[in-house]
Amino acid sequence: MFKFKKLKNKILTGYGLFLIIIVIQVLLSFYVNKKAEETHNKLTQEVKPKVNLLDRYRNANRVLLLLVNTKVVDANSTLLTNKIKQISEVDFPYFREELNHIKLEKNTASLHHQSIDSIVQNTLYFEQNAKKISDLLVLTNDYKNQKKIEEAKSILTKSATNSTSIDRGLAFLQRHYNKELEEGFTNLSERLDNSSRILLVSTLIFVLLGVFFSLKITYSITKPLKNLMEGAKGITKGKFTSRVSVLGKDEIAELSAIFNQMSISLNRSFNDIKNKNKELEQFTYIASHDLQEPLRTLISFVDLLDKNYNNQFDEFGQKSLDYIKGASIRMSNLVKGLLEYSRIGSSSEITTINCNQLLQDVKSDLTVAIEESNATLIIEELPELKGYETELRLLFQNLISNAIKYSKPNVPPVVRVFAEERKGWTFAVEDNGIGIEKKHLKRIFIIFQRLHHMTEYDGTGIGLAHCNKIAELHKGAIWAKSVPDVGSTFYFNISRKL
Amino acid sequence: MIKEKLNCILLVDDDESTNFLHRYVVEKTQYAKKCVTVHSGQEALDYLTSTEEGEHPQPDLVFLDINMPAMNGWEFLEHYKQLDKNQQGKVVVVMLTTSINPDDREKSKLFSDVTGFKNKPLTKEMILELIKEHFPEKI
Repeated sequence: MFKFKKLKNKILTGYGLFLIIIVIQVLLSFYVNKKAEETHNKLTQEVKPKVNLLDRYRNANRVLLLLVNTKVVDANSTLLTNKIKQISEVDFPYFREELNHIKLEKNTASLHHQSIDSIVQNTLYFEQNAKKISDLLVLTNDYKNQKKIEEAKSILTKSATNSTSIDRGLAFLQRHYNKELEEGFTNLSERLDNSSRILLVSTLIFVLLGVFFSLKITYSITKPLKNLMEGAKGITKGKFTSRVSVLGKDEIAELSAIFNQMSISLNRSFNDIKNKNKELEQFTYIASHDLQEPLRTLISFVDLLDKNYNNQFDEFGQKSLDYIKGASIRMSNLVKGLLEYSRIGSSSEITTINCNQLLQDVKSDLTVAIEESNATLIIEELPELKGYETELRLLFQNLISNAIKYSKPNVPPVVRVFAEERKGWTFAVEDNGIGIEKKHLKRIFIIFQRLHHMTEYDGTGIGLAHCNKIAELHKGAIWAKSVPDVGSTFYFNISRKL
Repeated sequence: MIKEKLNCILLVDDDESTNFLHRYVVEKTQYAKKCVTVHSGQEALDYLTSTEEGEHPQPDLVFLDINMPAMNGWEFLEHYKQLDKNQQGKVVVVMLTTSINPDDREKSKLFSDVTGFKNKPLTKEMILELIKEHFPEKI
């Protein structure tokens, strides 16, 4: 069994190519999205909180300095102590701790380590100084103590220095992280831009590639099929020499090779048949030609005997002589018929024939028979067509003379000739004769087949065989319809393509 | 000469000259009281089914030609099979123009009524041989 594995593979490759392209595109866009998401996450989850933390740190630093300053200057600000404690004892340690975490992260630069260390150190000082001030100025009376105020003021100056250092360091870090954030987002959007551009371009390339390969595969299937079709068409038209070029290695190529072999063997058989046919015709021609010779001798000598020794024969002798003569003449006619049969179409050319004119000629050839039988010949409007004139004339002559010959006793024959156009021309010769039984309708076209005894209707049994061969010569057929005792109609058709 | 003559020999052939010749041969042998010639299968059937003094002719020997117009020998045999036993002849011999072809031999097997094949023309020896074979009491 043929499995068409190669052809199947070819088609599957075409589909597969498109599938692979789609999968690659999906994977690619998935990867790009994933990358973008990762970067986005990193930026929002890692860098953004740091920036926020630094913001809050700076605020707290500023607030603390303000609080401490107010504390020192304003005697009525005892209530601020709690707030100072909140920042210096809760918030600052928390911020320090967080900064230390940042410092421990592996991607934090050493430059930042120093800043962080300095911030942490200053924060510690600031915390201690804030505590000292808080401890120093507890009651309203403490403000009246000049010494205490002096000391607080000096601590305040130190605190201010601490705060400034902290703010500077934090500002430095903040700048860095802000920049990192900004750059990160710029990068991200740029990368997204690039990725979408790459996706677009690669999609285009893949689609073009896919289309190219699919077209190539389709072409590699359709081209040889088209060749095969043209070859087959050629053969139907009788061009047995048509060959198909074998492309590729798939099943269609195998088919093409088989087709070529078929075409070669067809051509060989066709030539064989042609030669055999020719040989056969040649044989019939030679045989019938050569048979005429001894027959002529036979007829001549019987004639001589009849003329010169007529009175010396008794009745039996005379009758024998008649039989010999009759048989010889009959055989001579048979052989002549055979000779003509073998020569039908062998030496004539296709010409344009006016059938009306042709039938007039036939009519005048049959004048004697028509007058003797008192026949009426009705010829309807007939077409002009291409064909073998001599043969066609013989065909009409045979059919019409048959129609006249096989008439009912004492009924003058009426013969009608007409034509109809359907796929070429179909002619009909209709009579009111004795008719033919249905079972004989096929047999009458076979050579030497007769339905009647010689004494009833004479003939050689060749006429309708001739007609059959002439119809075949015109790529048509001959057939008959008949009702016994009513009449027969003989039909034949002539192809337009000769 | 033979002791007792056959009653009737029937010749079926469309060719006038063949019938003339065969009748001449049969009459010359004087092996039969009567020789009847007919020109077609239909005429033969008509003859076989006819009556003479209340009896069918029932010929002893029937020589049948195969190649005849309209009803040929084979078609005749189809009809012959369906005749009553008292209408059929005794021995039917098929006569051939040329030596037998294999198709005809195959075809003849379909007809049990056919005794054998002989090539034309009919001869005295041929008739004698058939009498020896089928009617030995008459020799």
